[in-house]
Amino acid sequence: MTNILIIRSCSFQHLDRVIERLKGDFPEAKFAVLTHVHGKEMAATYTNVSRVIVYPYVKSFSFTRLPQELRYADFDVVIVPVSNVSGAGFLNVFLFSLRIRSIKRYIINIRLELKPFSATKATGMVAADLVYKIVAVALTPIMSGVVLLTWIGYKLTSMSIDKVAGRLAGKITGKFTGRKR
Amino acid sequence: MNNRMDNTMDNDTIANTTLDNDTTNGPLVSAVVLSYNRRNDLRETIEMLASQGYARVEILVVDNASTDGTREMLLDMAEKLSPRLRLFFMDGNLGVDAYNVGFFNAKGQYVLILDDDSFPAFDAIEKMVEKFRENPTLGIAAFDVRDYSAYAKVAGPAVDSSANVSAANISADNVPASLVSAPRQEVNQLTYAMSFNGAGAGVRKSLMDKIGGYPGEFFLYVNEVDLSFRVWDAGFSVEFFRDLVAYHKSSPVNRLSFRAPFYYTRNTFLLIWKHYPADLMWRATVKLVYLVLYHTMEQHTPVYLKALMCAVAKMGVALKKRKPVKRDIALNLRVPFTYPFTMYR
Repeated sequence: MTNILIIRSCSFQHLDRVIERLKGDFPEAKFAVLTHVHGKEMAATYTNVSRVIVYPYVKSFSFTRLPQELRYADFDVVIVPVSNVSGAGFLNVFLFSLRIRSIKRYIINIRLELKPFSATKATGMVAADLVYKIVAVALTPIMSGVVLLTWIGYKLTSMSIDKVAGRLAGKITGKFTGRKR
Repeated sequence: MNNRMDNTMDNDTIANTTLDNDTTNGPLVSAVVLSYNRRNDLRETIEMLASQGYARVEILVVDNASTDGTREMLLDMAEKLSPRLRLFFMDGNLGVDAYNVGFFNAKGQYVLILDDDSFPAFDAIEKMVEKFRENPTLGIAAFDVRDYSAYAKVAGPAVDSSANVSAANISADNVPASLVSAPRQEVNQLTYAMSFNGAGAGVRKSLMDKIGGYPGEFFLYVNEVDLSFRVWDAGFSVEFFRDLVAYHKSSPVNRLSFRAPFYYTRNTFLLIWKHYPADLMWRATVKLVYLVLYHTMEQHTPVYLKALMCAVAKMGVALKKRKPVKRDIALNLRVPFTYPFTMYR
């Protein structure tokens, strides 16, 4: 029997389709689902899932956060469902999957295409990731500064508008009540 | 909202009298469905609602100026389903703001929010009413939204109705221990609040009258999290119930979509600017700006930068509506910051 671990990195609506597809590809398999705590109830409703493993962290799946329970577990296949076509934006889950002992790893995309995933492929992605991170870190203060300045601009504008509006309101009120400012 | 609202039910008054006076089978529930160019799916949604086990359901369909014959189909159905079906036609596509027309006109004690391609399981509305009656501080009952293909395949309706998860204080106690494995002590320490899926959720109408409906300025997406912030801040809860099941059809998946990553990214900025206390807001803004820059390079697309620019352009709107929530709510409600960057290609 094939032992399969599915990392719940997508919505349950997509997972419904993924599990149906995997049942066809691995008819004799035993499925386990790894999910954050808020998904455990939903994962438990699958009749063909024999085990739900709770990811005991609030944050996303990370290479540095492997649950104790998975440290010594062995699987034949690890599946990473992604909610797009290419898997872009899921590098953290791919890297996390590499920490789990398994013979094979697959990505299953939104079209339900099953694609193998290897440590070699991950190496290239990590190299690119490093470059993007360096550039993004360098540019973040500049872009954040622009956002902050715009925020201050809006604040000042709204404050001055409020002031003008307040003065106008005061004048109008004064006119009606006969008071002079 | 100055769009023309064309209520096609001539005998609306009679309909409301009939529905409101009948209290023998529990309170009235208003199912509000937003429709845009999904004629056939919408027909199925209405048929499913009309055949619900819970009889006291009015169906409000707000159409965002569909151009695929939805209007004609709706008028035809209204003749057959009178007085339960009420229609509202917008002059243009208002996005989620059109939901507010339905919310405003709902006459039920509870509003059931649905998409035009989602519908509740046969017994879901009745169970939803029970949840609200049992817990007076329940603001939103979040449904377990499943794929349409799983209709009748997942064990939704057969699940023990007492099994619910409090989003405010999740524990591992509601699932059979034999199935779930994680050190319970470790899991029980995780306490965070969740939002809900807009393809299936019940809302207490009196609460919505007080705190408002969906944020019209968002147009699409993240509107559920915005409403959740206000619900929690008003002292009510958003809870997930696995025995409240809704089925939702999958969107087209074989093309690049600019719409979802654009609106998700832009609206996440607007969301934190509206609801986060100042220090958390700036921390989250810097984090989001970083994610925008990173994923722009990773996915070779300008869509995230465009979303950031559009958010900055709409900053005035966010500032006007800014009402920071209590600190513990901002810290506990899970905002999926990386989610907008997972749906482009």
